[in-house]
Amino acid sequence: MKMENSYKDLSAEIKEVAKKVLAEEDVDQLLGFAQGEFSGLTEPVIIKKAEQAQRMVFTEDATPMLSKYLLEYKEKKQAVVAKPCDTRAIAYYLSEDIIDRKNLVIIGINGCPGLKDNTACDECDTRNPVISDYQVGEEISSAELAAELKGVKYLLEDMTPAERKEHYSQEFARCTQCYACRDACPVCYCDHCYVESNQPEWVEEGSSADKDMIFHLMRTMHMPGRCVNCGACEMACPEGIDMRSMTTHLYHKAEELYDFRPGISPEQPPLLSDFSKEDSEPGFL
Amino acid sequence: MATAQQEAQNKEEEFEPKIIAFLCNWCSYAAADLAGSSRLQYPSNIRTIRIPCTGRLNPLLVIKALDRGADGILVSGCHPGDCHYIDGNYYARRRFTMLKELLEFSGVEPERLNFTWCSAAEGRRFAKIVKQVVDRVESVGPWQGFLTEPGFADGMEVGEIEDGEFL
Amino acid sequence: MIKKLTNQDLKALLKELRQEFLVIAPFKVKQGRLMKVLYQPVKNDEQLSSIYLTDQPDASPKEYFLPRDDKLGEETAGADCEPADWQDQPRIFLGVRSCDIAGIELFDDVFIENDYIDPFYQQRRENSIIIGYSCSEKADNSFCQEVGVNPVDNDNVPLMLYQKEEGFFLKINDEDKLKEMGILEKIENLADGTDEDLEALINERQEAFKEDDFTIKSELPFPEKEAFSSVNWEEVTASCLGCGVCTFYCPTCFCFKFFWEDVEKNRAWDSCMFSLFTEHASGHNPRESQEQRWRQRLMHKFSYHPKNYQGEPGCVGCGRCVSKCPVNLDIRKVIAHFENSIVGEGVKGNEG
Repeated sequence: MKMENSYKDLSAEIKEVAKKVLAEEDVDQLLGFAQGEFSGLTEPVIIKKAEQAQRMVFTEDATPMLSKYLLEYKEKKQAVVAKPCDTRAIAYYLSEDIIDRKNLVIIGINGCPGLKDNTACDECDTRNPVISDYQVGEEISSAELAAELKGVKYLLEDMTPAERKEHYSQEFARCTQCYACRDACPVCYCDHCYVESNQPEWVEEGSSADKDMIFHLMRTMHMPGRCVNCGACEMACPEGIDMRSMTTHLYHKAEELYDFRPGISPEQPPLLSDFSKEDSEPGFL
Repeated sequence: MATAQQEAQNKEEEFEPKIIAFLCNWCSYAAADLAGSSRLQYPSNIRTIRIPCTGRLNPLLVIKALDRGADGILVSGCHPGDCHYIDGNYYARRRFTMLKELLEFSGVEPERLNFTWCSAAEGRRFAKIVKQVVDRVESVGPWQGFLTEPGFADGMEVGEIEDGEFL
Repeated sequence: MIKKLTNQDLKALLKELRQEFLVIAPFKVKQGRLMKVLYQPVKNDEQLSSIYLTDQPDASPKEYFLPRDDKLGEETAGADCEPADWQDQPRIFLGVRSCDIAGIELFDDVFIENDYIDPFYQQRRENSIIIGYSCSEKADNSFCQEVGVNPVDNDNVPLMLYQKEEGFFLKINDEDKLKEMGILEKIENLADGTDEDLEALINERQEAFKEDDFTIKSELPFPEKEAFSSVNWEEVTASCLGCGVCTFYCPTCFCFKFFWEDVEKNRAWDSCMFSLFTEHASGHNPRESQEQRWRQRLMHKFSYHPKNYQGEPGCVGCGRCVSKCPVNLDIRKVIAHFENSIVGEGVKGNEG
């Protein structure tokens, strides 16, 4: 049986902690989730006063990665309600030194119950925050987590490369180049994205499937050692394209080859800015 | 017998792979030079691009080369430990391992992606590598692109239509 | 003229129409983890029974009028860029709801009825017959009545379909057009319905559409000056990620870009939500931040468009931008915020 925190309990605890943080800590704003006024959908909100904390919730639709917004306002002192995957993204920011730890108050969610329809949650290996100042919910023990992850296969693991080629040909034919996958990704934060560069023009204009494939391959090539396997890209995609299988593959390969998991600690150097003289050379001539 | 030979020859002539070779200025590029001045024969299928260091090669360029119709890729740099810039090729090694994993995962044949080390004194090795790479690429045939059917998106094939009695 | 059809009648009619026309109708389509309703050409007669009219389609048929990737032909020096052999098979769109009809009418205003005519759009449009469909319930996040769209009834299409518990009513609005396209003779023999029955159905439905939490209080066009001076856009649009999903799914967004593939000229969708949309070659960007892009999107729909087109709003209230947004940013929330800011300003002005 799964020991999980309910969304209701977590929401209640988040409200309390958020009130406390806004009242006691000297923060400019707090990032959290609230119910939309008209739509009833869960949306990210920025809260500045303790009274407003009453609106806050945590639901199975809380897909947006709040860590992404921290970078927008990095000169301010911010508090953030962080899912475990968010905390990994934050730890990654700290390892790249793009945000100041002193400016962050992290409210971590223990024993994250996962999100609706997000396949990344089924294979999630981080259910407790890796870095936090406040915590809500009950922790999940590593034994429980290991039991849950037993036998979990990651996407497309069983396919042959030729089958995957066929699969991606169909998937990327639907891509409309809205770039929601890039925009939703917590670890995509370049000031000037390669997509928007026309000198050199990495991705040519037009939305034929082969150009979409180039966009996704290049995006994925930015991901090894960064991707925290949160599934935000796939959840953001309005066409239901499976692009996470590529990043997830690299996520597992980095762990297998270099024993590297992104965003586990703020001290760890990024995968591709580091090396070991003993690194393996699989398939080199 | 003569016709069979002729046919085989024709077939070979039909496919002359285009291979983009990214060669490090300090080693493999010089090795190519040495191979030339030593009059060593190797196939003329490679198109050389001189780069300052394999650590400076953006992996996106490899994707772009394949996109633009290269049948295969060769990246060659200094042996580990011999980098002109001390450790550029160590970084490159991780990067290319990841690139190789990604491209092979998404259906590019491993024979098209060739990474190796070759010092400035190894003209003979360079000639051997080029032969090997050309053989490898020839064994998998011409490159058809990252997708099974290029230009397949005509706006109509959007997914599986659900059969059912709705009307 | 009103006709009464059973499901079988409708299928038989479509089967007949398929002889001459390309019939495009909504189908349930599985896309990865998503199940969507999308307009698709009917490929064979067996597919007719899989046509799915119950829910609002996930995308409007705008792609069939302004394709995502439109090949405009080779451009040679001095010659007209229009390819001579360009042609579309005449098309019938089945089950288009009032919001999407309004979207196509807006496209007509922009691409045909003014001084500048887009020959590609015009050809596609004149080649198409739209069979409307009356909504029986409110789609998620929709607010069509607030922008003057009647979801239940529509007289602007040649044919309008009303689904009953069993069978359909078919209302004929434009006999001339149908005659010209050779459709009228196929319909004439169907059983007649009565005005009263249809009216009763429409009234009943209109009742169900009355409640709505959201109202637009201001008159169109929204005041432009105040939008720049007294609205804090960032406060309400801070969560916007800057993807183009809302505009790509919008039935009225028509912005496009040109690009060349060798000598072939192409047109593809563009979006005001992208930073590149306004970036100059110099590197200067007049709309540098996402909230300015949001201001542009909202004001284009509720201020600039109404100003240029006799008060017609540039939004049809279908609610797709809300449902599709990866962060559920709600355009109604932004409108309400805008109105509150303006009203606040107005009150201050009166007191002063």
